[in-house]
Amino acid sequence: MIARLSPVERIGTVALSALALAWIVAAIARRDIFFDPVLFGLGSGAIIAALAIGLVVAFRASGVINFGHGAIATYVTYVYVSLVGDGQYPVPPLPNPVAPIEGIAGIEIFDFPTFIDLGDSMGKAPALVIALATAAVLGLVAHFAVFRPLRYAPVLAKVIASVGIMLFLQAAVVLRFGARAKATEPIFPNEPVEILGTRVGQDRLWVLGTVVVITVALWVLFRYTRFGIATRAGAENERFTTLLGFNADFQAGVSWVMASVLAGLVGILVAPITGVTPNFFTVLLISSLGAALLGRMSSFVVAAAAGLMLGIVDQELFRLELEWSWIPDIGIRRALPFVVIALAMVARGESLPSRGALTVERLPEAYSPRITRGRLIGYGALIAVAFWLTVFAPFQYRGGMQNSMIGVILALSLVVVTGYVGQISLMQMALAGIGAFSVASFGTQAGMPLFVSLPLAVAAGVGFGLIAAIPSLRTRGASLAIVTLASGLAMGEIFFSRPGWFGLDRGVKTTDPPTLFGLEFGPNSDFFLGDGKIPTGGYGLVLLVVGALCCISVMRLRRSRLGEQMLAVRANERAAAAAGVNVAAIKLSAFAISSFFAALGGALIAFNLGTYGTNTFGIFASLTVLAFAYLGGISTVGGAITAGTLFSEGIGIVVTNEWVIDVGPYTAYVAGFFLIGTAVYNNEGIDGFQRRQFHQLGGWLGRRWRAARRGAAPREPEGADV
Amino acid sequence: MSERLLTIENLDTGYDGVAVVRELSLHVDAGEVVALLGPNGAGKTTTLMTVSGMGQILAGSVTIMGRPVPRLRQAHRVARWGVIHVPENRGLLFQLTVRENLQLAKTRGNVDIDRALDFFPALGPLISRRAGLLSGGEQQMLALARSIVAEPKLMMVDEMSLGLAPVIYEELMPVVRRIADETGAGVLLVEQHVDLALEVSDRGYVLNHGDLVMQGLASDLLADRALLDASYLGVESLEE
Amino acid sequence: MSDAVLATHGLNVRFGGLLAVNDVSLECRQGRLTGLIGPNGAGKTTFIDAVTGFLPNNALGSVLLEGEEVFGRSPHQLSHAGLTRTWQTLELFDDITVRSNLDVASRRLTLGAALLDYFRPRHREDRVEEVLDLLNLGGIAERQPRELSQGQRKLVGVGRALVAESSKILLLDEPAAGLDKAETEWFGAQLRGLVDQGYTMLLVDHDMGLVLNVCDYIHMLVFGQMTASGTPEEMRNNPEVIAAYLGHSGGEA
Repeated sequence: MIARLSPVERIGTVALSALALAWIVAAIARRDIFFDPVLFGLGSGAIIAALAIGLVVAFRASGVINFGHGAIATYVTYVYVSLVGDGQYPVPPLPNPVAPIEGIAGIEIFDFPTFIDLGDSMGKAPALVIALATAAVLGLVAHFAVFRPLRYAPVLAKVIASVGIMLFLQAAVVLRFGARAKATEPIFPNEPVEILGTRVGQDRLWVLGTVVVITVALWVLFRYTRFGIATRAGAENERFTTLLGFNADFQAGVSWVMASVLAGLVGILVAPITGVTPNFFTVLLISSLGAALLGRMSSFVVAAAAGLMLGIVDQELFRLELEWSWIPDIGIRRALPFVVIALAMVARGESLPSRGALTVERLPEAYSPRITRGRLIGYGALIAVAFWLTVFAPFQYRGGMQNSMIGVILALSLVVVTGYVGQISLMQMALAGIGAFSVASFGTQAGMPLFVSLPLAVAAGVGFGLIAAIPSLRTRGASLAIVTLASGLAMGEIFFSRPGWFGLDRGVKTTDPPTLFGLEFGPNSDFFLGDGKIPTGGYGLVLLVVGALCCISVMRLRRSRLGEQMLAVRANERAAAAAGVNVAAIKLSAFAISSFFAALGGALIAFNLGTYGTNTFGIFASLTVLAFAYLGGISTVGGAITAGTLFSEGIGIVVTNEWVIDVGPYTAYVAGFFLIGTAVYNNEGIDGFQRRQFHQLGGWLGRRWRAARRGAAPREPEGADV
Repeated sequence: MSERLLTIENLDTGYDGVAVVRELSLHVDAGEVVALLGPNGAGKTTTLMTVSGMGQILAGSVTIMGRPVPRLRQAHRVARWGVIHVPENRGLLFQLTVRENLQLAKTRGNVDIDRALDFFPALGPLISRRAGLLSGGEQQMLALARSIVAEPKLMMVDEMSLGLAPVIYEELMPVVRRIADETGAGVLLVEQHVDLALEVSDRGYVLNHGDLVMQGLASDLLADRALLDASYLGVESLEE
Repeated sequence: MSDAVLATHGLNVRFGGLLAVNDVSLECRQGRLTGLIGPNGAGKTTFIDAVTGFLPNNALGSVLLEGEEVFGRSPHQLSHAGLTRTWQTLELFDDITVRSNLDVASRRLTLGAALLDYFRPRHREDRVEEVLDLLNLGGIAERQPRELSQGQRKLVGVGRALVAESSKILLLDEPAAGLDKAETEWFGAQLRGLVDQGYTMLLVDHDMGLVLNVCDYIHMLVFGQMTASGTPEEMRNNPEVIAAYLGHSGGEA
């Protein structure tokens, strides 16, 4: 399998091996610098490697890059920790089916359990079995409920579904166990041992050994068994393999169970050493994605070796940063996964081996906005309601509207790049962060006026967006999603996480309220339309105007020639090129426009919050934005508006909290659930769903109306388009 | 009367709801070689894909050994009933070795690789080579070898001569006859090279633009030379 | 030579060890419909891919467009230069209307043009309307491709290739694939009509009836090599052609 690497990759492999050799030689000379990090790095490298081979298993069988892989590991680990800790098996957070009756009757009939008590703290072996069985069930559910229905779906839907799994499981963990780290008893002996004069925890070596054994076992399985050969065959050409009588579905199901159990096992073995937090494995997953990509998503050995190397290099860089203080602190260590992924992509050029699937379904429809009298009335009503909510409603609604308007702008950034051009971007909040941090640095810190600092901030966002978009010219689909995810991570690590003029100031970043010609109009400013409570209606009005302008400009984009070319690229890059479309230029312009909206949204977030940290713009924020945008409807402006109302602390959530139930802690959980559902069963999101309903309703009313008119005046021409 | 393996009745089939083949009826019995002929684009490949469960039956029926063709999702079952389909580009997995390709001949049970090598001794030295590195003729041998060890009841071969030099396919074509004679399997042979196919066939059908234009015994078809050529070169040449 | 719109000289395409197109030189003359036939797998589509710039790493040779060397340019540059193509599998833009499909291909979109269009949209492009009229697509201009019949879709594909402002020659890849006999005849008549109005085309098809009927001059590829050329009359009686298509051994026809 290793033999099938391109020359560039071969050179890379040789270079890495040479580097490894150099380390060993250097270890003899100065073991404290060179050898210790290798030993320590093997521990974290083993985790990265184990997750990477799990990713390869899932990809080989179903062509899905599973962004939820880390979350599966986390969930299973928490199940294990809970069983070992106090014998409690967590029940997945489900809505209580009798809650409505209870609510109306005002009584509690049925105490819906959050945990099933399996007696006192359980032994490690039975806990392991139960936890891994849970993993197997998760794998089966992921296969049957999510990825099997998505077998013929476009890559976008698969990526979205796996992001949904990630959000859903992580939210489930937080709901059941809280966000704090958990520790558990050791599984492997953890007395330190001495290797070549360096003391290292024995348990790390055990984990490493386990990972090596699993890698070899998988290699043998896929190399020599008929199941393995058929799975490889299916990855190469599903049609041919089906003609030979092999059931791709069955193989995918088995592989999902294997991948899930593997994820769970890694988590359980590692938890005692590192402790576990709800997003621990998902953060590591980015490194694992890099390692798996180096193995072309198909070689276990290369993926595992690359994972180990990443761990070692990470430790080595950590050591060097301490040792050689003259190295500028630019966060290069944390940006490492991105560097690796970018290099892998550039070396490869072509996208990942695509599976010869039997058919591919359509992408969500990008309706062209049509201005009709009915629509104009609708827009007018919408704006009137929005205006009232923004300006005159009680303060919580005003706040909700402000959050929603920002959400709309962020969702629009995805409508352009993902909806219109089909390029999956998982870095939008990082670009928003560039906007937010720059507007603070240029405006608040450097004292530039708003009409300078805001355009500069947006331009910075566009610049970074364009740089990060360069790999999009050579990759597409899920590999592009990974590149953008890693880019987002790198931006966060390099710029937001560290102190400095562009970064944090005493752990936070502060932005002064926006001021134009001496008029301060931030959310807390004494700006017009204030009723003494914050946020002021005047500020909301500014956001409403900006948001509406953004919506109109994207609508016009859809109708413009540029928009048509974007959709042409989305439909078929080759045919677009043959029709004279400069595909590279279209992609870059889409990323530029998208970054513009993202950075603008980010700057508005900065004004909204005043003081904010790194997490606001982290990778999970990016994934959540994509989730909401897709849920609303990824390829229409209406979808972006819908997404805005759903946004965290947006108007939809506020209204739900006030009028129905407090969904607060369940937002991410519910969003993840519906995101999976949307990806699998209705790829046009809520907006597309509404459109169909309206269309049917409109058609029915139109027929009634025409029938009535015909009754009165038989020779009336057909009614206008609804 | 030998066993009826494949019955196609009044079949309309195609993709995306568009019929590529219309009103097709044909059948294949055990032990016979049937040629399905016609120029490119006539709908021959589509017909085979439909039998294998990967087409869209718009009207009519396809019955394989008494069973209807399954849905796309269950298409793998067709092979398990004993139908081997060698598609146009031979259906080899280029990333796998010759041995691995042979191992995929059956979904369960032992694969008799030696038997395959008996038929095609030339494959012996190549057993560990990746299929993608074989020459065209060797690839076609491998595809046939894989079909033989699968012990099929019905074998469908699509465009065996495609991209091969005449010396090679003139050698391979008789193997098809041999399979039918020795194992009693029925063979449905799709070819654009008329003479070649009819020489080894018992009966033949000719499609053009999705319509069945001729059918009959292979010898009769060969005799009716002018009509056969005309059905290939289009209607216009008939008029002259 | 003088009126050759498109000429290739010694065009080779190599995939690994396979020489898929072997030293092919052909000319397409102004106002003529040139046919390119050959059995399946002969390298016809590969030839079109190579000429239109889709095989930059595999192709080698010379492609002259009205005497100017264009080999090595990217597909969209070739399209702007007037060398356009259709696809066997159509590859229409499914998400936009027929008119938009043509719109996309009609004009080069520079930054300035994009901005101008964005701020001052001009929705009717004369050239697009002209082609819609020419192909009688006016009635379905606002429909999406998937709502159309196969024959109409083929015409939209041709329209998209025709509409480029500077269109000089059309390369049609298997346009009759998937059409029934009647549709093929109708489609052939449409092509012939366009050529009679002065358009230049290269028609790749394996439907001998269609090619013999509508083309002015025909070349045949076998195993990537040009083995025969001639007028339809000559090709119809050429034993090599009959052998390549019917596999008569020994040229008994």
